[in-house]
Amino acid sequence: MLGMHLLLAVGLAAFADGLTPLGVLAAFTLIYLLLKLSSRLMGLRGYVLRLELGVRFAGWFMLEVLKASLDVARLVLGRRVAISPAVVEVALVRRDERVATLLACLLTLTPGTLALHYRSEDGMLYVHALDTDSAAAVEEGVRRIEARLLAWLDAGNGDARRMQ
Amino acid sequence: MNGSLLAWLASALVLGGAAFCLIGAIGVLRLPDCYSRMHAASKAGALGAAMVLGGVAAATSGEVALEAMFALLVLLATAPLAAHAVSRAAHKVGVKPLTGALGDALAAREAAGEAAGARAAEASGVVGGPVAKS
Repeated sequence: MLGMHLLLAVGLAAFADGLTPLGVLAAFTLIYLLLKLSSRLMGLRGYVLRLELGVRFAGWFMLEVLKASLDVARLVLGRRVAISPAVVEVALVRRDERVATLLACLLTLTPGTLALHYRSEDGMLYVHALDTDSAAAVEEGVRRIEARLLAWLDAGNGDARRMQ
Repeated sequence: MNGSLLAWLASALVLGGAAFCLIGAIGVLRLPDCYSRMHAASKAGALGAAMVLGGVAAATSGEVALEAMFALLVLLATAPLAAHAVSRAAHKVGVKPLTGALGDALAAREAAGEAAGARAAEASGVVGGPVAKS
């Protein structure tokens, strides 16, 4: 569905003689608005919801990456590097290995955490935290990313199945 | 007007990206052990490279935006994987992470698991079983 949406956007941009990245983006947004208006009619609610959550997730994630880098910069450029690292274990909600892989990658790019190891037999993720004094704080950070990721991945699954 | 704005944006992005790359490099130099160094390399390095790519896309007024986006995707996929591979390998060969009060949960779990595994192997009488499988 995303492929079709992109194809439509590129086609529309080419038709309007604006085949630049900005033109494609504008066409993509226009088609998204049309889809949203007609989603109830065409049974595309799942896709629209997933797209919205995906865009929101991407924006939030970019902010997190920026925050992570500023965090590292603050630590590194201080007069003394005073950190107290730790390795914390976090039990994942979803045992699916694909979700765990994605989560570990995202975790590494967000502030203060680095995915160290995943034990698939009991769904434990081991996280190296750069500067922390409580395991609960690290776990809560992981939970927040996991909740957002799962909300996006699961969005509109029920609708999508009904559609097929 | 539009052109000069894009040029300013491109300059700012390239300069900012280079600054973040520099911070990542300083981090690799200053942080104490392999694991905390991976934090600096993966986060600041990835953001710096992403900003430079954005600057390149802006400097060519969007001509290479598609290429820059693909490069960005590859970068975002590989930076955490590399950090994970390095830190995991370090932990496997027994480089102890420098930890604060909380300690190293993975080392504790592995020690407990080895003890339990040894006990189980002794009880069943098959010592070489798990090793042969792996």
